[in-house]
Amino acid sequence: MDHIQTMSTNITLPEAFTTTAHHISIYFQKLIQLIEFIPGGAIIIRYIKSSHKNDPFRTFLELILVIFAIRYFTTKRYESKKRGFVKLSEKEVKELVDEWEPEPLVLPVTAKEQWRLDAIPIVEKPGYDSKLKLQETSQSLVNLASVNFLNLSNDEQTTAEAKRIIRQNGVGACGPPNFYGNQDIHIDLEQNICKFFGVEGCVLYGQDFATTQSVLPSFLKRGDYVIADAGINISIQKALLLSRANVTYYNHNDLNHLEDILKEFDEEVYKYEKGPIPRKFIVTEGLFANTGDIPYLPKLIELKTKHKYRLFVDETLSIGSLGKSGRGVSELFGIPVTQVDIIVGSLATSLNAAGGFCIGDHVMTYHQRIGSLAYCFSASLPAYVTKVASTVLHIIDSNKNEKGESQILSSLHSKISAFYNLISKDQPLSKLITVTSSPESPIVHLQLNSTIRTALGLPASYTGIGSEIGRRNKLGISDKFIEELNNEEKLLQYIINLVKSRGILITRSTFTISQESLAVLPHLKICINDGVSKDELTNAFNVIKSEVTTALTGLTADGFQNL
Amino acid sequence: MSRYITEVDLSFLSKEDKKENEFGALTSQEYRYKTVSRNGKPLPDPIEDEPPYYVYIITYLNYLILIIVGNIKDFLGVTFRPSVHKDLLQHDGMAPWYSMFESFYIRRMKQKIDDCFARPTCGVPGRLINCIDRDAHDYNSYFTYPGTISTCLNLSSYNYLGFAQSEGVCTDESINSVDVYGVGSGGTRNTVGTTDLHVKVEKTIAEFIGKDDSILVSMGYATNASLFSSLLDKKCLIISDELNHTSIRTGVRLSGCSVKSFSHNNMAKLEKLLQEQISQGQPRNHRPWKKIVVAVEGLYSMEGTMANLPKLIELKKKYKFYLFVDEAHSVGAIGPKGRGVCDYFGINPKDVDILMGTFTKSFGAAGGYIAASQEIVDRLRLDLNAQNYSEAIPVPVLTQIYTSMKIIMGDINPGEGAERLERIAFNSRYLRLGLQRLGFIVYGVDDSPVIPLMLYAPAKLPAFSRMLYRRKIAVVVVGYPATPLPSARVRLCVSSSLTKEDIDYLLRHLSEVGDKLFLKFSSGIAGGSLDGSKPRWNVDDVIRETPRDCKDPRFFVGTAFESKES
Repeated sequence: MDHIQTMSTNITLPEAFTTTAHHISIYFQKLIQLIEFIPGGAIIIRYIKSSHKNDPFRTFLELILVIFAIRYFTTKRYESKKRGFVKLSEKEVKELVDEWEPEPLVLPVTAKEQWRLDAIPIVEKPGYDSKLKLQETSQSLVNLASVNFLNLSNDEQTTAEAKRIIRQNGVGACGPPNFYGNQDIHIDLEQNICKFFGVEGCVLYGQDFATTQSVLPSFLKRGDYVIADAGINISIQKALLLSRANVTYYNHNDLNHLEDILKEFDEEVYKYEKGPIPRKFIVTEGLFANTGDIPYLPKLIELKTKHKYRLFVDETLSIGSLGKSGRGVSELFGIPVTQVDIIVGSLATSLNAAGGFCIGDHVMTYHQRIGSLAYCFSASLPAYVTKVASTVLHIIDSNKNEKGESQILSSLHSKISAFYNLISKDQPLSKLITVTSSPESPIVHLQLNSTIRTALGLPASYTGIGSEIGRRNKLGISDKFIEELNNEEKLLQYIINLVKSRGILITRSTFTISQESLAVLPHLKICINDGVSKDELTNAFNVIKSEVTTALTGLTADGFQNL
Repeated sequence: MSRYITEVDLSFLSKEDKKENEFGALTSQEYRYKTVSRNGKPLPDPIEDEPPYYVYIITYLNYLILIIVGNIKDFLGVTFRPSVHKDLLQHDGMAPWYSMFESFYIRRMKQKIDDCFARPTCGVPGRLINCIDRDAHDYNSYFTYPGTISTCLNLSSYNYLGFAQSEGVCTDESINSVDVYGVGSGGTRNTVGTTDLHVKVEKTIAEFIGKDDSILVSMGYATNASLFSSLLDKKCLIISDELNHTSIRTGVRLSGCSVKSFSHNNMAKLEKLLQEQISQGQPRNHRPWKKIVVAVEGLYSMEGTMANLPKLIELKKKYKFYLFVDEAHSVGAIGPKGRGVCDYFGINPKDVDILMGTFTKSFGAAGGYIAASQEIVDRLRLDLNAQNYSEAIPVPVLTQIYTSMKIIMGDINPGEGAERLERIAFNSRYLRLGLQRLGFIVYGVDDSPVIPLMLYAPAKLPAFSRMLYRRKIAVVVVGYPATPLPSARVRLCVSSSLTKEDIDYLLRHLSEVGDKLFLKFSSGIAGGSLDGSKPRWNVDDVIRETPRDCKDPRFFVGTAFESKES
């Protein structure tokens, strides 16, 4: 057998060898001819020929290099990343696929949580006026729940303008701002806002909650530094998460703590930074959505100037409600709006429309028109919405006295302070609840008194560092139901229902609790509306006081369980 | 000459003219086409036409020159004229708003052609669009407005069914609702933002889509941006099509889950990835994923392609993942009954776990929705950020959504919805086949109302846009970074409001511009020719033959194969 095989190879090999060699040489000739066709190809061929003549070994080496390069570029690059990859046979993969059972997409709402769905009020016509009607009750209720503080939703002027623009422009804008979606009315509002605040630029967004989330990440990148208040709302938390910047929190509204951190960073961190200066931001809110208090802006301005930071202020709730003519927290402290580097405001609160906006200098706002994702990749606001906002700005500014106080805001402010005085100075009530909001805030926040919370066995915070939700998020546990939180919120809803039965609608804070990364506690919220008279407010205070007292006096941990 | 825009007075238009400008009357019953449901049949693999190689060379060369010149300008500018380039330099110990590198594309490329973007308009963006004329100064650093307007044929707005109107039942109802409910939204949905109309519209959407219930969100982008955090956590995996919209990517990043992507519409790669991920589990610890969600778009707005839903459903049954379909562009515009991709493919909507969509496009309103089973919707109502923190949709917008949806369903003005659907189907097919026959390379599925026409070289973007603007046609040109670097394109959005004669006008001008800018280089493999020759039809022949041919599946390459098979 061996002999025969050797025989056959002896005969065929030279033949095969010569024919292959012949073919190779023909193709090689053709290849050379082809290369010569390419402009400059002849030069390459001449170079290779002459170098080969001088040094055949070099040609061989270069050939190996070429082969190595081709191999290097064609092998899959990510292979090195798949370090933990376990090689499995096809059968094993099939078994694993068959075996895998996913968790349900969401956990069903349990019987214990059902009350939350049932508690969402459904408003009927005439919408958000000073009196509103709910589907469940036939009587109309005093509206202390909605955030259109200036009560211009059913105003003659705003509705007339809205109707006129719908008749002229239709409803939708049908396109993103960069592609024919910006109409004369949109640009008019941007110009009006610029004039109103005395700033260089303004950019409109489709939703207030999405505005901050998109503005901050367009300037903050990996390697930048943010020092933020530990009480900021979830929209800013998400914005900072998206930006991938280094975030440090200072204690809520504690500007001394902020100063310490700034000093420490100057000495410990920036000194050792190589390369260009990183972008540095101080991030806070004009009126805190979670607690209703106001930061002391003059100190913030002083600190940011001294330590070379930029200041970002989320004025979602404060524009149109704080300051003698509604310019927000800067006006409240008598500081020019231009001192704050980025201000984000809402068109959906006092301005009575929908959407959000960002104001600041020209360079910053211009960059957003291509760098900000929620601006570039979403449709413009409906034209009539922007007209409504323009009209409200006009209403605010049209009735100003010689001191620059807007009439409509003065009226709102006097109501806020009257109500605040009643509720914060009431001794018996202060034993049951704590008012966390500032005297100027249009939303009065009430929190269960800490002694009561301790007596009921409630934790200091449900979210944030060291909390139960924090623990579950860290471990990736899907179930986020917390008995105590459920009970506390149920108690607040119980109070709301009692107040509602006496003709007044107030509300409470609602959270997506699993996503709050900072400490929050549930609050009762009373939103002062300019359309509500002072007498009605006094009455509302009495009702709230008596119902809070009924609900909380003598409440034990056991009774609390059985609400 | 003003540097500011004030509200433009359009009252000189008579009511009849206005109506015709917003929605052209149908000129013949011939110009309608009823989309055929695919009855569960998956789409064949798309055939993509490639331009000659020198087009790519020119394109890359184009970018290379722009980058080199831009960098030289940056260097010289920063060195010799720092006062002009203050925004790039640190001053007073503060970093600039953005780095030179980050903003290079905007400053040195986009700004040069800024006159083609963000053209201000006025009035209704319907069949015609009124663009406010402007003069650019100092390389588009600012504009002045001479006070005139150009009324252009509108191929730019997402007005698929032509509901952008200032006359008609939708507008009348919206105006009435202002009197009844006021203009504002009172707060977040879970505090007091919900009105009885919200509940009614949510039920109607659910009925329209074919799901148990739905949730309204006041902004389309924010719908996706807030959804995924409520579904997924770090022990979950999302598998996303590489061309998914930015809103999906933002939402996914916020949720903190693991992300894997597969090449656009490539079902074989998806299946391989699924096998790998299910068998390997989470990285490092190899524990099984808690859940896997596959996210795709119904109709890709930059490509005109559709998710291959029948194949996805088949994979879903095998691999037990959850399916999310973003119908932002397809709902209302696609399918025999306008119900989106499920309708088009003849798939039961119940087989898709979450159907998301927006109202900015087909419905002429604003906002978005999430439609799902009752169990999912109930949970999301409590746990969705958009429910807890962002404002509700104002009532006049809701009314527009409700009325337009009821028209499509045939409950209001029976017959009108069907006409709109059949007109957009005809217009899309006519324009697509017409362009293919003229020799342009167009992307996408035969029935897609989004028709991307390929330009490739970036310098052709402004040329194309300006030439068409002079010919009174408004188009959207898109380049990098919204598309891959070499494939700059113009995106034509077809609408029901266009008449057949409008498309004739468009084809004539596109043909001329295409000759001048050297854009007709299709090879015919992706459509326009049946014998494999390069299609270079004369525009008169196209206009004569195509309105009839476009109703015949034989002339569309994708479906032509199928009719041969059967």
